[in-house]
Amino acid sequence: MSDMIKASGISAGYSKKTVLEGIDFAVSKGELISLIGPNGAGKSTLLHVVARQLEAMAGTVYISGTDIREIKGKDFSKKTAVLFTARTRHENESCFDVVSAGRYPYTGWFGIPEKADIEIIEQVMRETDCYELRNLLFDNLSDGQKQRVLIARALAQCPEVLILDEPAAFLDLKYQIEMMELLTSVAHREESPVTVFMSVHDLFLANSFSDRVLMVKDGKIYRYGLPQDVMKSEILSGLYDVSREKIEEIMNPGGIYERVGDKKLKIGYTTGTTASLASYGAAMLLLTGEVPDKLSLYTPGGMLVSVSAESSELLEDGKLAVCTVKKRAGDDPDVTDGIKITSSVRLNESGTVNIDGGAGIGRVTKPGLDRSIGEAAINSVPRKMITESVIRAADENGYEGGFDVVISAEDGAVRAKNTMNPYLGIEGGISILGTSGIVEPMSERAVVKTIEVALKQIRSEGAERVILTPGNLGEDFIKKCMDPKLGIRYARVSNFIGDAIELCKAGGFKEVMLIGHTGKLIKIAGGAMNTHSSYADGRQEVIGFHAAMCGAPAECIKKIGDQVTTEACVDILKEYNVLEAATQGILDAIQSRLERKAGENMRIGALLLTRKYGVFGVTDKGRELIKEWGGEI
Amino acid sequence: MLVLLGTAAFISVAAGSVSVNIFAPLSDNDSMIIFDIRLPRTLLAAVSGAALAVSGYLLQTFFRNPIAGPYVMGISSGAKMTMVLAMTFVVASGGSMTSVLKIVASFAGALLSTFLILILSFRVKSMSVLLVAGIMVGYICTAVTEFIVTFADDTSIISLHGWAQGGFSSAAFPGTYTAVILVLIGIAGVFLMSKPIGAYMQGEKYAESLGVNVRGLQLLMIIFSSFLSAVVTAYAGPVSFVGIAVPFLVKKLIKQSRPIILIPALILAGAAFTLFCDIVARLLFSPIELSLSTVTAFFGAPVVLFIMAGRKRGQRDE
Repeated sequence: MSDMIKASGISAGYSKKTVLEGIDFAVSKGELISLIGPNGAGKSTLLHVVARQLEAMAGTVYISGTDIREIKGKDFSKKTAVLFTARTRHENESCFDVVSAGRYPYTGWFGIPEKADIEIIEQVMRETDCYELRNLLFDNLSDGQKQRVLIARALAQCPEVLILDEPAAFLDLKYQIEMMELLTSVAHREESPVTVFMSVHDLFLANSFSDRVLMVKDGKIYRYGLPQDVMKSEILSGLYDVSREKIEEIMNPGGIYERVGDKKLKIGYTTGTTASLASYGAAMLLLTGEVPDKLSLYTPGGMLVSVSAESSELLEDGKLAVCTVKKRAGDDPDVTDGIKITSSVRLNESGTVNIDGGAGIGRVTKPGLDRSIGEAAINSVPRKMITESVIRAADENGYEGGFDVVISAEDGAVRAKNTMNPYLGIEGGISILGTSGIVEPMSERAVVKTIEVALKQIRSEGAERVILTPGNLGEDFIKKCMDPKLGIRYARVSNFIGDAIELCKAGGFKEVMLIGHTGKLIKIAGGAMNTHSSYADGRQEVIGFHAAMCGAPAECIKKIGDQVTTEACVDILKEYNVLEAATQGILDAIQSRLERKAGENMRIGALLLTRKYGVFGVTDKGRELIKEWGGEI
Repeated sequence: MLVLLGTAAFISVAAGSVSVNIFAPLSDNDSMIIFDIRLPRTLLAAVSGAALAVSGYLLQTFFRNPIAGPYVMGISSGAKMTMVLAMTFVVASGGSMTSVLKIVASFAGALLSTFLILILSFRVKSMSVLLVAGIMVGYICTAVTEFIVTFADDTSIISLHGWAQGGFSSAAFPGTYTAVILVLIGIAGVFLMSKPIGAYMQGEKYAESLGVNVRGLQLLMIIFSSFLSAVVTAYAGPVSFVGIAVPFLVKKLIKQSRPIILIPALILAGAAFTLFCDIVARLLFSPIELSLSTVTAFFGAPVVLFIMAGRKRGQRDE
């Protein structure tokens, strides 16, 4: 039997009250298991049963395959060490004395440690970083040091299983982390790993350090699984009977995190999200007289963002409310990181929500963008978010009228000079574009690492087919055209098309499909394998070249050169009747570039989308692949 | 500590209300004083001190409370009560107290009050409240004792009175031997338990997890502690504070907690302390003897006060 701890059908309790009922679970060797759940759920009882300090009313606990009732007292303590919360004074005991108590099951009648015992004691004290404390009195130590010594005492038993009840209680954050790292290291070490089974209250610790989390509620197992699978707000909210938003707030102070390999990256939120939060705050201020401590909203991408307002003020006898929120770009600092977005909100009687840009928000001066010329450069997605957030404030307070919202950005005009806005024809400030509402961290190495992790994951499930997509537009399309039942998985690759293809090749994928926005993928036709605009643009050049190849007049090429978006170029191509021919030229160019990159052992194709017209074009191989996979265009 | 004990023993034998030069050849009379009076007395005092110190140590470990002790917890008073009861009964019915009867009677009393305290200790967790409870149990026992004494015969009262003051003046060889042997057995038993006691000091639950039979150990600790103080009470009456003062001073002095080292140290120090107190009791106002408890209380009670005052604020009473 490979399970280190196995509980089958455990019921337990005190006198006649049953606390636990029908508990079944197994823990493998070297795992660190956190036991979480509300007070009185039966966590402690379960630990006591496994530690054989409380006899189960029904069921059996096995430690490395043996029924614990059949193990003799001292043999049990050679296998299992415990550390419970009860604090005992250790008058005059040096730390060495305390740790040597752990050798109890091994020493003779008078308990005098022999040379081998002393070696083990000193070794575990070094391991737990308390060797230099050995001659100090235990009672004089700090809580963190005491805990280390007590863990050393438990390890001195040379146990296979270590059971701890709330080891993090009494410790400050630093000591908590130190202790958890220590426990993780003994659990995961190569030589004689110690299986750790412990109860914790702190969800961070459970989430960050456990191999698996065992959730107990009302004496039953609620969930048991990997932290990334079970430490979710919807599950935790059911476990503790606390609202999902509160859990998210507590679990994600100061930002949302994404795991990249073994590193965590902080995800920020977009300017659009910031503007919506500020608008919600201002609307609440107007309607209730105060701004909530935490402004929260779910982004279109489904993640909860929760922040505090920077400042707020009621003006004009309470008719105008302003609220400012600071944008955080997470681990992907861009020009707008830290920018203060202010929303000024008034009520109106028309019942509609009107949104405009104020100081620091750019205005559209050229055609082809999401907004018409003269409008504030706030795209439809953030507009929708802002509208929804003020409507939410209205609903919460029974208000049925409308709002006039003006968004402004501090230093927007200055910051915008470092963006693409001047070229796009957006003047006077930053633009609020936003799609998912979340800025995912884009630190280059980290992103490539993320892609690698995602691809490996897909490949590990046995898939030989994969779709690569730069962003949300492609993702939405994939969801529509590829029935989930087909089992085709996709990976988001941002601008790192070339890197992603290399990774697919290295990972052993056989068929790869690229689906995404024309504005990005068209750059591949010009040979750019990283489509970020800071590396290469060349969109007009590509379109112009292929238009010219199809016989478009110089006048047409010149017009293409003046456009800022591919969508606008498409309109020009249509105008000169070269759209189809030019598109085919572009697609062929993309296909040949991709094939060169992919090599001989991998089939590859591409599908290009525009926001306005949907599918722009599919390469020949792309069409073949989608058809073979069973997808619909 | 051995030196200290040796010195105390020497003084105890050499000094007294009748001066005897022990270095010179002894006359018959002197020899009788030395061997029949002073030596047994010295031996009994030393052994009693050791027994009380170990008994106190066991109680302190058991209750995790530095001011637990046979005297303050009313255990000595309990032993005294049953002794008085037995004495009055036996003397009234014309018999006389044998050593065995004395010990059985006082052991029963000691156990009685220990278990009373034990029951209380399940209900109250606070150290000071437990102490007050012990003192109350002591008072109840004393009240019962007084009640018996009031209605007892004059003859028994006289011997009772001297005994109840505590002291070793009645030490004579045959009885002393019994006491010494019993105490040695008791101490040896405790010494053999030093490994589980050491584990017990790490916390009950932890000891249990190490495979110690905690219930059994607790029972043994109580029985041995009661037994030791009962033997002393049977021979020397209730002797106050030795059980608290000696363990406290020894722990302060040797900064050690491992029972295997602590128990021998307690034996030596308990013996030396009690001998010293006995010498003071005999010699200070010689030929008038002070009661032993007067002297031990004079030295021991301040130690208790010191412990209570010296406890850090916020330290939990466990």
